[in-house]
Amino acid sequence: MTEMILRDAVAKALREALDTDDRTFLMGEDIGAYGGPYAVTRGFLEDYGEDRIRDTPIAEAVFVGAGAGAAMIGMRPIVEVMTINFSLVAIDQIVNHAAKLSYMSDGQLSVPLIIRTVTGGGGQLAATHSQSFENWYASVPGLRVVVPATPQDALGLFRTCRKDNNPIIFAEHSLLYRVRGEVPDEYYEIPLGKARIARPGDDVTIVSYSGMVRVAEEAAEKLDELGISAEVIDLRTLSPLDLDTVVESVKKTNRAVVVEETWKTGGFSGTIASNIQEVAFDELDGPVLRINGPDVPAPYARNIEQAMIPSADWIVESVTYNFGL
Amino acid sequence: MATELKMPQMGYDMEEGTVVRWLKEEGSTVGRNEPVAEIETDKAVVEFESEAEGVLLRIVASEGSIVPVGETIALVGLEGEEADNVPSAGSTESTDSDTAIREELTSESERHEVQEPIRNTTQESSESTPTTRILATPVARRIADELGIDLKQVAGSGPGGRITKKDVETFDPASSTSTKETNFEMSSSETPEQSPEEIPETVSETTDPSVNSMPGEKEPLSRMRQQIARVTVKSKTEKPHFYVSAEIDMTKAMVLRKQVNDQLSDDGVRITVNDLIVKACIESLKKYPKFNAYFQDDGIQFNNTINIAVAIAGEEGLIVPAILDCGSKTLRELSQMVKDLANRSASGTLNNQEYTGGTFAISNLGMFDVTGFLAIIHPPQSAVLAVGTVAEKPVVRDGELAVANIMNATISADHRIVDGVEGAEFIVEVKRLLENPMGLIV
Amino acid sequence: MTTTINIESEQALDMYSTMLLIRRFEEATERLYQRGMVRGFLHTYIGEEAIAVGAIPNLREDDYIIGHYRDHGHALARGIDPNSAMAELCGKSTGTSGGKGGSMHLFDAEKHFMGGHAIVGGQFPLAVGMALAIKMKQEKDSLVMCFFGDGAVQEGEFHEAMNLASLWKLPIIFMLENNLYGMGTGVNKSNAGGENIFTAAEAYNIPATQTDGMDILQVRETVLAGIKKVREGDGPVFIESMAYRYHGHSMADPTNYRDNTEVEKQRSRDPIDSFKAFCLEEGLLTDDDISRIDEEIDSKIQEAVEFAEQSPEPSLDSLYTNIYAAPEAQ
Repeated sequence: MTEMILRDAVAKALREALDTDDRTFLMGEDIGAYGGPYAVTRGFLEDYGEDRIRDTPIAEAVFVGAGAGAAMIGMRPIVEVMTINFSLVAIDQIVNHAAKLSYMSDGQLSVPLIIRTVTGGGGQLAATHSQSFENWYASVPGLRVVVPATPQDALGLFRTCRKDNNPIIFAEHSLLYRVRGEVPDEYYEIPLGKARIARPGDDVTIVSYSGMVRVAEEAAEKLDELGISAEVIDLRTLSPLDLDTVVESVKKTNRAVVVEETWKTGGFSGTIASNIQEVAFDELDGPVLRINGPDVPAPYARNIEQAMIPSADWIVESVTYNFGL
Repeated sequence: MATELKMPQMGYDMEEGTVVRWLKEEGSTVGRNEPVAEIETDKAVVEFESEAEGVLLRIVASEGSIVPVGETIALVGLEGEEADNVPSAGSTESTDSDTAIREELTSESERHEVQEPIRNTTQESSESTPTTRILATPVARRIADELGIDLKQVAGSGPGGRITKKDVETFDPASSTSTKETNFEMSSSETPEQSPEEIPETVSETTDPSVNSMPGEKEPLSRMRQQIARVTVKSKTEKPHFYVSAEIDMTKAMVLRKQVNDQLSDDGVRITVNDLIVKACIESLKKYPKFNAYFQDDGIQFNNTINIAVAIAGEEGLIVPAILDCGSKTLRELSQMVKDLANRSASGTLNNQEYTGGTFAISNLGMFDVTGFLAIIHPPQSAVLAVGTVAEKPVVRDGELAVANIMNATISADHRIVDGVEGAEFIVEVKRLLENPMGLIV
Repeated sequence: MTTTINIESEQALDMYSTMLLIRRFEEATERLYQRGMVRGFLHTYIGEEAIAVGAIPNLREDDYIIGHYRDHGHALARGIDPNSAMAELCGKSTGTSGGKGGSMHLFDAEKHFMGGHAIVGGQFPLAVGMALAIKMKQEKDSLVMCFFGDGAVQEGEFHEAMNLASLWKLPIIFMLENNLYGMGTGVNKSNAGGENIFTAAEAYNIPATQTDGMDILQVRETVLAGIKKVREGDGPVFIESMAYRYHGHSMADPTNYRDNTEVEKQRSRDPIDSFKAFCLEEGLLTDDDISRIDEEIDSKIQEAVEFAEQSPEPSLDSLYTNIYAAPEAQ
């Protein structure tokens, strides 16, 4: 085991891809000379050269679409969209094109394209730079959505993504880049569509992903002090979705809370909650709770920004109040 | 062969169009792709071109008529060609579009077949419909249903008094303060029997978990044992039992039974003593329907059918399934039904109604050498007949000592519905029928 | 015909018959649409045949073609079987995409026909990516021919793609089919530069020219020059072909935004009729050749229609296939 931060785990994954597959190249804004807006690709340009580390103009639609086009004819590009907010400029290429080509051509074409992007708020970047859209992409058939929460998962999931032949949104939470974790030294992969039980427990299941896993774990600690044993599930991928692990856990605990950073209306937590009650209604000992950010644009000022992001106390209070624990 | 010009599809959402004007008259020559009519859609008036060249043989849709897409509006063919046998637009004869619609319907229903329905991971619940709204979580309802617990008696500890899983699991019926009669909530798929009774045909070894336990150890109750404990306590707590016994002379019945069985042995029929008792009870219940009723909300609710429940010892424990709607069955039919019930209880293929639908019960311990016993009423019923073994005993008949086949029977009844006199009348009627058994056979 | 290019009889025959194949194919699709066999949106290529046939046959097998939803002409010019194209339009399992794509989304990966794309301008970034892949692989001097209409040039993706293609010197021929209308809006009402769009390419340092898209020989000549230039590795070229679609944008189009004299005037320059006249005059084709080709094409189209009609619908299972591609074999 080696301890590393998530940023380094992603960088390691990217280097592996570049080292082992000459069909792979990186493309995005300021990934080369600048070293990456989040410093993930620092030093890459020197090591791999301009041809494989391609700085692009600020034109998300064309460089994301070009990634898809190159993937259509045999390359395995990895594009970086600086933040998921900017991915909306390229959403036509992602949703209308990359996600559709396999189906519309009935399997003649495939698009092995990894779209790395940075998601989440909490950095006082205000309304246009603090959003999470993984849930939008997860609703599109033909896309895969990967949302790692630990360095180990980031590396293991990325390795699997490299072998997948579909367009993938690989969303890294900006506040997780400095999170430390143990990463195995030997080679390993983590399959897509297999959730992780981040912490076992008996009384309540807390489902989360990406930046909210840490918050859920913190809530579980606090609940433990109250004598309530919480099981924390990290979905790891939203598409494919591992519902089985969630349902198995709920069968054991009979209570479920889904915690998600983005807005409640249209949130992916709604999909999880409805799935739970559809397949495990008779196991429930209370309503399936959804803890999401409120339906407001992210503000700049720190105190009100923090107020919109689900916290451990928020989870603890919801659990004890709603389940009578 | 003439070419049919059909109302064109001019856009994916167009369903019909209007023939505004014919640009050609019948009999005039038309070229391929030459406009022949003006068609109005909801978007525009467009020229409609002929797809064939020849002569406009017939105009089927007159100017101003509204024609569904795909229906013929004109015929183009060779000069002098027959233009008959073509339906006018809007006729009821089958057209391509009809066929298309039928095909669509077919694939529609096929499509539903491939769409996966939502499946609950838990078994279908046989929960009864509560008469008043009870706040309980889904899992609490399911477990209460499995354990035969009446949710009305459970205090909810969750938000707003909601009953949770923990409330049901820790529920102690003995300490329940509720006094309200709630018989219907008792119905469940595994309602236990109130006392260990069997009928002769289905004698099997009942396994008592305490047999193998070590002295001094506390053996935890099995699920079945817990249910039996709960139901019997409930019955004895809520139902004021009283008992009336009679000695029944079964001599004639035994003789008759032998005759019948000898005659019908080739048919595989074998009438048992129990069958005769079932038949006698049915006839008695017709005469005294209060024993086929139950107490509910300070009233007596009569059942529409007679469903005689018989205690059967199965591998899982004791159950009391019912022979449903047996009021008008002959002895021979009843015999078959009891046998069938026993077989299916052994194979576990009884249906829910059979498990829970009894309106009167018979407990028969005749295969043991017991003179008689008292049974506990099985809720929501209001009476149960307990019968002991049939034994030869000396009796005085016409002033002389004789040997007779005697059976003791005791009716347990709910005092809220019936009194001692009625109990006596009922058991005497059963006695009369069994002592004059020809009436049961005819 | 305004040409100095010498073509052989054999080429003339191919060009004439491919244009006629497209014309007759499109006429058949309109009839099938009117009969309800073809559904959804149907955009025909009638009147623009000279562009596809003047351009695509000059490409090599290793070149790629990508375009817009008015894609039947491009597909047929690339040699896609009319039977499977027609079956796709009719939503049959034997179609190019097994009935999943329809008229607007024809694909044939083997023939490097990378699709009709139905979001206006959406094909540009994909074309850039394919050209980038070609350049990075450095295997051949292959190129990408990207078709689009005058309606697409106001999309942001057009400008982003022009910029990046030029910046990275990617091997693309931008083939603009300017038929003067984006649906029902005239080009003068949508393009700040007016009818002559090719001048916009100059802003991106892309060599650009304009041809008469109803003159197949002129298109051919221009495209051949463009191909030569792109293969030299100096980046993209831009060719604008002035064209006219005889019929509406789609079958639902009332065509009330243009008058009939305009349509008649354009029809009088019909690319097929004028090429036929040219070939007869120059002795490249005989009257016998013409009537033989006419018959051949008619029976080819009849066969395609019958094939489509008789083909089975997609199996219901296919609803769930190819949403995702299988992982790479390790």
